[in-house]
Amino acid sequence: MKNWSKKIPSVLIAAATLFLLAVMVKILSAPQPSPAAGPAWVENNIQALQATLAISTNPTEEAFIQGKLDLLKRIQATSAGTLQNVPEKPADACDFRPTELPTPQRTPGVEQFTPELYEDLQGKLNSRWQAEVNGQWVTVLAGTLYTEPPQAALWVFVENTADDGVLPAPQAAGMLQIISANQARLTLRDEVGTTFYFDVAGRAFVSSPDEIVPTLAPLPTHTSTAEICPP
Amino acid sequence: MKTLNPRIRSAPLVLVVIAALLLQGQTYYFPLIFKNGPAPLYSTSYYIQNGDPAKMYDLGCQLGTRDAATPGAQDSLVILDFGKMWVLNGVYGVRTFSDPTNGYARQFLSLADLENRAQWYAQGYWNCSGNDKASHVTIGLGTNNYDSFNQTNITQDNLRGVAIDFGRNWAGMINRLHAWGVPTGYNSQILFTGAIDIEWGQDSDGVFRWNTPYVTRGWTDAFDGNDDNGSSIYFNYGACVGCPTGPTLSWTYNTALPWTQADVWYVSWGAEPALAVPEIYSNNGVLARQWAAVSKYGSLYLGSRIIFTGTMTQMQACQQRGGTECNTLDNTPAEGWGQLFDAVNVETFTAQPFLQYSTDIRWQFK
Repeated sequence: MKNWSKKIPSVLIAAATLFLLAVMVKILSAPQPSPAAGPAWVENNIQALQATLAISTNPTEEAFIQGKLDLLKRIQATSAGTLQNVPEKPADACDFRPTELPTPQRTPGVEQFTPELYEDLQGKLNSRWQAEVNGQWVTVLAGTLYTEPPQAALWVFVENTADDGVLPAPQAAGMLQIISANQARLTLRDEVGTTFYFDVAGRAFVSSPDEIVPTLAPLPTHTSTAEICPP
Repeated sequence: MKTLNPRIRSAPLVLVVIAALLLQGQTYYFPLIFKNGPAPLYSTSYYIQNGDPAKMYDLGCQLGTRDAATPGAQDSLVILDFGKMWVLNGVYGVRTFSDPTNGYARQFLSLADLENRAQWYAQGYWNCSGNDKASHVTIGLGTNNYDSFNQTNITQDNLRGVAIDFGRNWAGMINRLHAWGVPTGYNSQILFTGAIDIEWGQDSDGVFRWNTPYVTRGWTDAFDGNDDNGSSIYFNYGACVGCPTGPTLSWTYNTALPWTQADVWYVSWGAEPALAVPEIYSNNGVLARQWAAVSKYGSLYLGSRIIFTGTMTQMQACQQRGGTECNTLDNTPAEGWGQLFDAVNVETFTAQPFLQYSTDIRWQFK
């Protein structure tokens, strides 16, 4: 019994040695990754797949991941050719900036257009009014806001400010359309022909074309960020 | 108490040291014990509102400038979301998001225009990254599976036919961009891919405008069929809308949009050119758990987990526009990345040791 207990450490060491040897043989016999032939970003993707491949125990999955690896390696091979003819970069990046397209002329007034779904504004729009109000450029769009049920509404945006919002018109039916404008007082019509008025400066629906509402104080204008290539 | 011979006591330690030296350079990962390491430096993706080439150049230049100023080689994924697919007078293209610099009007850009704009973004990146010749950007030309492609015939068969045309042409566009990047040398730092925000769900007025799996898989299969012998890829950067947080064979979104977890897996990973950079917006991590469930579904029933390439968040878009959804859907890039990394590494079925990218989307203007 005494002799047996003396041998325990040796047995443990021998077992550990055998285990480590087995691990080393597996590691050394595994194919070593060849240096990346192409750009590193594909290589990173490949490493991500290979890392998962290393822990996968499902042959179907291994084959699947291998398919993705092959795909990325094809991309890598295509890109590798590029490395032979990398051009020098320009000293001044602005020399190669394309000329800006001419800014469309902003004509103050009303514009009607075929109703269109504006998914980024969560509505369907059919008309626009834009003009300068108290020194700031304001755009108003009209249509239907996609709530449940849909609501006639106006979208108001004041350029370069945080002043924007959607103003539902609960009394109106269906889509609201901008018909005309007198200064910053809009005449609107809904789908059943009812007329509404909207005062842009006061951001309020009014009951008559000449009802007076207080003008909202303008919000501060955002400072524009520095241009990459100033004109 | 009997003490062991010091030589015997130190033998295991010596063996461990020898083994560690032999293992140098090799990293072995085991599931369930991964640590959520630091998230990668995030890149900015864009909802494109104005496709002016000069503006695209500026966007590329911004990233190139950042990478040049950041120590080390950067590796970014940028998705340029050009909006929904749109056919105008027989020309295939996209309808961009409304443009605040032009009275909130929308633009039609043909696929040829998109190709050109992607080239300008690439040139902006290339030129402005200057002496940094080691950083890389993967540019995903993005669209979505929303709406009816400006079709009056909105039968499923017609929509699928149009989606097939789009998928084939989208892959063709990526193939041509690859070919352009070889002689110009840009491919040494830039990779072009397709990208699509695949979703489903109900708009806020209760109407279903996203497309069915039948239509959407038309796009993915046609992309696959024209991917230049498997050398073009696309990223699905969508959400798994209404998905369960466990693999569920019986789950279908609804009868109008009968998406299943098998469909989600297919368009995100099962199709040969598909890779996934899902939207992980939710502060409570549920979106990450939904995607982990799709991956587990794939592992259990379809032969492979999804190995996610990265995550998309919308922190910057929320900072720009706010809105009630941003109360709960404004994960930071690090939060989104961490949530998905943790969710997939909860168990062996979905474990992945490495999650490469983190990108955060914003509006081009506001």
